[in-house]
Amino acid sequence: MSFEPNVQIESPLSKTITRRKLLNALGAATGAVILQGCDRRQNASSDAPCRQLAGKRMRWIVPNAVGGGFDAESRLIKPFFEAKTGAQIVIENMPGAGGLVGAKTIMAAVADGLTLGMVSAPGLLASAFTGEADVPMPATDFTILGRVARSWQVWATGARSPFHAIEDVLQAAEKRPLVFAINEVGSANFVAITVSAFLLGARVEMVAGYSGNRSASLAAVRGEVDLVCFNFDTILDMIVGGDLRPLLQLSAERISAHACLEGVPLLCGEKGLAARRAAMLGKAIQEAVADARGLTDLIGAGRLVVAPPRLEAQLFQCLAKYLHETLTDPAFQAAAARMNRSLDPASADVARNEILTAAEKVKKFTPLIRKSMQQVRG
Amino acid sequence: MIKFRERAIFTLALLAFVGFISYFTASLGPVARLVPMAVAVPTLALLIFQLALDLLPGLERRYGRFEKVDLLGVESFRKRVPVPNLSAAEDMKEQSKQNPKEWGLFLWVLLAPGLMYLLGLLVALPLYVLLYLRCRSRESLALSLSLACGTGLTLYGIFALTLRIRLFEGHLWLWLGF
Amino acid sequence: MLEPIIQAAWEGLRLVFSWPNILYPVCATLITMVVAFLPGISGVTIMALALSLTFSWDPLKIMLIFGAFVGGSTFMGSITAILFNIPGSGPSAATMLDGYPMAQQGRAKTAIGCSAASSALGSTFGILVLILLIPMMRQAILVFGPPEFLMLTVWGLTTIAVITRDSVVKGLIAAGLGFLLSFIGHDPRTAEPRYTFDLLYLWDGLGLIPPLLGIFSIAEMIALTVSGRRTISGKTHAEDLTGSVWEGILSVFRNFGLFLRSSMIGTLVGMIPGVGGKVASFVAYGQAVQTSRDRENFGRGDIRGVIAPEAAHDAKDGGSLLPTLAFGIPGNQSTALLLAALVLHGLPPGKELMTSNLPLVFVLIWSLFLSNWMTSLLGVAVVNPLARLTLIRTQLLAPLIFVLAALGAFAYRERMEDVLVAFLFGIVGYYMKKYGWPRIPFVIAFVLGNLFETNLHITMRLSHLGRLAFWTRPMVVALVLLTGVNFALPYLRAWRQSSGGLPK
Repeated sequence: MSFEPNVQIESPLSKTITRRKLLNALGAATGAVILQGCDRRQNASSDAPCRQLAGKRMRWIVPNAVGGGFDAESRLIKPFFEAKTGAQIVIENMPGAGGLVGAKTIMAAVADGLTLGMVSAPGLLASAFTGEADVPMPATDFTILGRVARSWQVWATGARSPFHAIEDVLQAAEKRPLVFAINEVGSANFVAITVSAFLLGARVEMVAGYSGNRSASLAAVRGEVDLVCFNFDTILDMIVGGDLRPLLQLSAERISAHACLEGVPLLCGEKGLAARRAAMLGKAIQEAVADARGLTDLIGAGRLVVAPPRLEAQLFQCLAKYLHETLTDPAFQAAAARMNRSLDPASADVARNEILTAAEKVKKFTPLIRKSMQQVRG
Repeated sequence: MIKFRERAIFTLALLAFVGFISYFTASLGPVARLVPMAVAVPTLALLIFQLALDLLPGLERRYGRFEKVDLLGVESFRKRVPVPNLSAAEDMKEQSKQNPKEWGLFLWVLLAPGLMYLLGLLVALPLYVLLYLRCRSRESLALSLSLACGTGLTLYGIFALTLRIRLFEGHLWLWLGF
Repeated sequence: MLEPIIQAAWEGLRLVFSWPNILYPVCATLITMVVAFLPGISGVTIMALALSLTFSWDPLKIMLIFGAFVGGSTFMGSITAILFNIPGSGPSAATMLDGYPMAQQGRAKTAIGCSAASSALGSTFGILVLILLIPMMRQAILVFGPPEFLMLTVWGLTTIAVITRDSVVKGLIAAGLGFLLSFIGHDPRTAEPRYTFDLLYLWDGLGLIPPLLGIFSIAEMIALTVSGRRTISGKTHAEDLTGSVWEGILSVFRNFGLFLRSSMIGTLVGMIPGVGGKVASFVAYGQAVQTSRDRENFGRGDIRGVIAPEAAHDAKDGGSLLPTLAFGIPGNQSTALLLAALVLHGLPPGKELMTSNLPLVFVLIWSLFLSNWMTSLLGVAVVNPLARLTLIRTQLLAPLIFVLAALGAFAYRERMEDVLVAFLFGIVGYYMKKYGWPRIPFVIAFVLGNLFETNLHITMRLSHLGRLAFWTRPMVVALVLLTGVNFALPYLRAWRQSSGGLPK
């Protein structure tokens, strides 16, 4: 092809098409085709590690029994993720030791992309406070592929309690310790109460041993204890049913648009209760705000989908991409809504950064938590 | 005078176990050890008393009635009513004296979990049935094979296919690289 | 207040017994019967599977099948308890005490007939109480707190004293051992690890089923093999088997007072979340022994020892639905899975379920009722072939029982360690049997130990914090009196006898 500039070619399609313009257009078109081909090959090459999973059996470890929260979300994710990867996902329930059995199984598996699972980041991070040896850390002992949901906690009291607002609680706290019902010392729940009470300048006594958050919530309903502090989603039906009354949201923003949270104050933020209490008690306000944020980063670290550590980079990228596409798929989100599962998905990078931030911040709380545990243990 | 009786070994084993537990209980925190200690200490004391009864016939003659102490007065108006048939327990007391093959049977009993650990459930359990029936019970090959195959089919059909219980796959295959 | 309940009950009945809805509970019951016959595999296993397979089903179908799952498994677990001394689930262990000796005496048909009748009638009782309590179920549940749970476990533990007749010292030691093993795991108050030796397997403690399978089923089979006894029943021909199904069924009506008391205990105790299922059968058995004038044959094939635990075991199903439906607190594993099914299908428990969705609740209840009766009737229909299982030669039966026990132990938590635990307990259980150490006190203490300690800690803590006064709670006082009366009854009887009131 030779270039002859400015040669006009009459065409029924255009008024004036110069050869240069034509050649430029052809060149551009050819370039576009070539580039598109490169892009496809690029996508194909980045997805190639995941394509080798097609037709293979993928283990998906769930750290609780059938019917639990992790199990429900895993079974929701399963068909969508299978469609993306082509793998045949087999869900294995491995309850026990507060999720550690499942977590350690994932951690010990071969990092070939054929073993994934879910873990509770707040649970694992909270276990670090107890000094229990051998508790895996979400950010360093796993390859985080993404976050499925977060759990936001609220302080709630029984319907017949004399506390109608958080101010009543804080007033009572000036005269005596607040009594909370919890499941287990050292749990994420225990940490949330210890730190939030510290930020509000309230003394607490905890009654441990209740067999689940429902049993502990009933203790508040019966009036045996003043308060409980649990995941909002899990006690929502008791709040709606009029058995419990939410008094404080452990978050920087309103947890849910649900009417029951209307007027319920927030712990975090510049105008949050932690800041206001710090001002009232003469403590450093910014530090209180930062600590409150640290707490919510910890307890809101959420439910993560993870793979064993040292997963090969390209495999990680395509699995993380597929997971994110699954979690943001409108059909998936609609299915979750039908099952009353509230989601808060995040990509692998975002989830990992949040976990690392939370893990850093929790170091500050370690002496407080250990002291509190020591007091309980005698 | 101490008279060694076989049952004393069992009592001694229980005593050792409870002693071991008590030792570890002492190292727990004050709250965590409260109730376990309250149980372990009296249990230890009772075990020592029971061991003495087992080893010292004289003691048993003098104090053995405490074994049958009627704590609640439950037996104070007990009537003797003949039991219609001998139960296997009473059979066993008589016959075990003539049939001291327990240790051989224990090996067979422990072979089951051993085979399961090595070969996995799907292979180990039918194999175990076959070996037991053929070698220990001396049943015919046909019967042993049929029951072994039946076991395997039931295992696979009900547990693996229907109930979708993940059957343990056995460490031997992992070690051999399969 | 009653009219909406009656309307909902009628609507539920219509939904269950209409075509093709009736197919769901019938099929679910049949599947559960087959599965629950396998030792260690209870209805829970099939419910877990169903939960994962039925995500897309509508709530009506879910209620139809889950009601059937809950009801279909209890009786089948009792059959293996009677025939082979293998408890189908924890509560079935109490049925073994007299059911298995009856099978050993060649009276398996009578035992199964009795179990079927007690089971069906007991569950009916529990369901009736459930329906009557629906208007006030929330208040009924709120009456029970840690002090009441504590007293219930104490009541259950007092049966140890009743059951250990032949050797009290050994019985108390066995109970102590059971207690100590129940403490494995974490301290309930401080979460401090106890006796875990850094093994992840022991973090949650020893499970209930593996030790039970070992100490009864495996131990019994070892004992049978060592004794050289030819078959379980000692008989080799079907004609030698004595007793009949009708004798068993009629015995329930002949001991109707005992049946009613046991059903009441089962329903009441079943209402207690977490505690109920484990305690009900043993407490009912204990009260049967304590309240009977002639108690020599308990533990040796006394039919009343089958009536009491069976009635309680099935009556508790109705009771255990109360906390599940009212507050979302499961009473046992099967109601925990039922709860999961409810939540996943947009039916969270509580006021909304009990008002707007009351017909669906009644679908669950009627499905439970249908499945209980169906199981009992079918069980009675096949009693002859079932009884003949006690004629199988020990040499043939032993490896099959070992295999079933191994499977049951594994299926419990899918852990190989559970299998090893079961077989080790099998050897220990054999020696306990051989040297006259009672095993039931061990089981009762093992089952109730952790509950007792947890509720003791919570009660003491709440008292210390001034949040409750133990002796001012009416239900606590009632339970203390009840326990006291149970203890005092033998002395009262002896006193009346000696003063000429009662014939000797």
